Amino acid sequence: MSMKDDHPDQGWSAALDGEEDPQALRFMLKRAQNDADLAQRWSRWSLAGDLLARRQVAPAPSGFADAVAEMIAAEPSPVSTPAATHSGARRWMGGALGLAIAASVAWAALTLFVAPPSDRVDSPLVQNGALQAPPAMTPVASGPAMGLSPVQPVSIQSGATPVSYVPFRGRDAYMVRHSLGAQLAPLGVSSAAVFLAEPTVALPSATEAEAAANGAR
Amino acid sequence: MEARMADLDDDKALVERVQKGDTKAFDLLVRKYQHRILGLIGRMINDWAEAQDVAQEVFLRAYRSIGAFRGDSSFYTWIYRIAVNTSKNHLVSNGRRPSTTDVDTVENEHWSGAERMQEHATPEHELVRQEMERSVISTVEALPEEIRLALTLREMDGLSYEEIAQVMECPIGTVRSRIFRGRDAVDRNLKELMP
Repeated sequence: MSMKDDHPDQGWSAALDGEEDPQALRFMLKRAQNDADLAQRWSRWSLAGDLLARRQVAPAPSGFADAVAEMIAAEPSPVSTPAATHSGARRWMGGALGLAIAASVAWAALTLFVAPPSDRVDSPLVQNGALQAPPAMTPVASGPAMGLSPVQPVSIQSGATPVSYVPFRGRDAYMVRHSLGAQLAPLGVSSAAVFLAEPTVALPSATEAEAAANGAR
Repeated sequence: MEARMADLDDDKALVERVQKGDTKAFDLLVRKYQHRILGLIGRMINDWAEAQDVAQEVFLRAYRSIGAFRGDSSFYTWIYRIAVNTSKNHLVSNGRRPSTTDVDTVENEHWSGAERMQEHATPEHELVRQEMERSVISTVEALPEEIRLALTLREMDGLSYEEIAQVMECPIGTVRSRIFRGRDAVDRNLKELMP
């Protein structure tokens, strides 16, 4: 019922004509769940309008709408198709997005951890010497046959700043071993041998990086 | 079908409530259109009991597929088509041939072949319908001028409240009140005649 209405049923009359505010209608419907008298009155108002407009109607018996209501009560709630479609699309997109993210993470992990050292010289940790590896470690050489960038051996010149090494642990180590195993397999290196070795990646010192950069220019 | 300017939006709010799971809103749509749908099916199926069964099926089908209703047409146009198709299927499945006379298009809702309707309805039904019609018309004719005009502009010409307010040069709230008072007066007489 609107504030300006002078009768509680005036809102229902307006609702019959599609002239009631949707929010008010929602509230009215909640209150009218078990109002059988209202339902009957609504039906008669409709019939009166049809008869006044001289439409070809057949007045429904009183129990007709109740019988339909009983059938409807046994039905699952209808779902708005556009919303369902969007929801389905969202689910599909969510799945695809998840796969895409997973693939991106895997690709990034592979390229990051097996990337040529020259790609990683910008790391402040490397530049300030925070990352130091045991000097006994030997970088693993690999052929350039595979598509993935192999770990590049870095020549250590005497007197030069020691090469920094980054030891791989846990999942990172597994990823590197897996990549190397795949790349060395055609050369006859067993994957077991690769997995027994502790993978490391050789990183040039900041000086080397600068020298390499200058040489490239 | 005569042009009704407000038709498309008349049931929009109720349909949206149904699509959100409000079965009471669907019950009101059933009560609003049951007489018209039964009249339509009655013209196609020459059996009152069968017509009621088919009409129930029509509303059930409408409820099941209302999620797909996007409001491109009015709700009544949409359910009218369901009623025509369901009636045709019913006739075919019973070995009868659907009528090709009139009811294939929505435009024929106001088909003026009252004789045919009288053929199909039982004499008692038709007598009651005629009596109801007389009651409604005589009540409306006896209403105060401003109430009668507001009600007929709405029910016969299909004007929106805003349009009626413009025609009658009064606020929309007044139109709202006048239409309700007209309906209430008609209802008091019609109630006594309901089956």
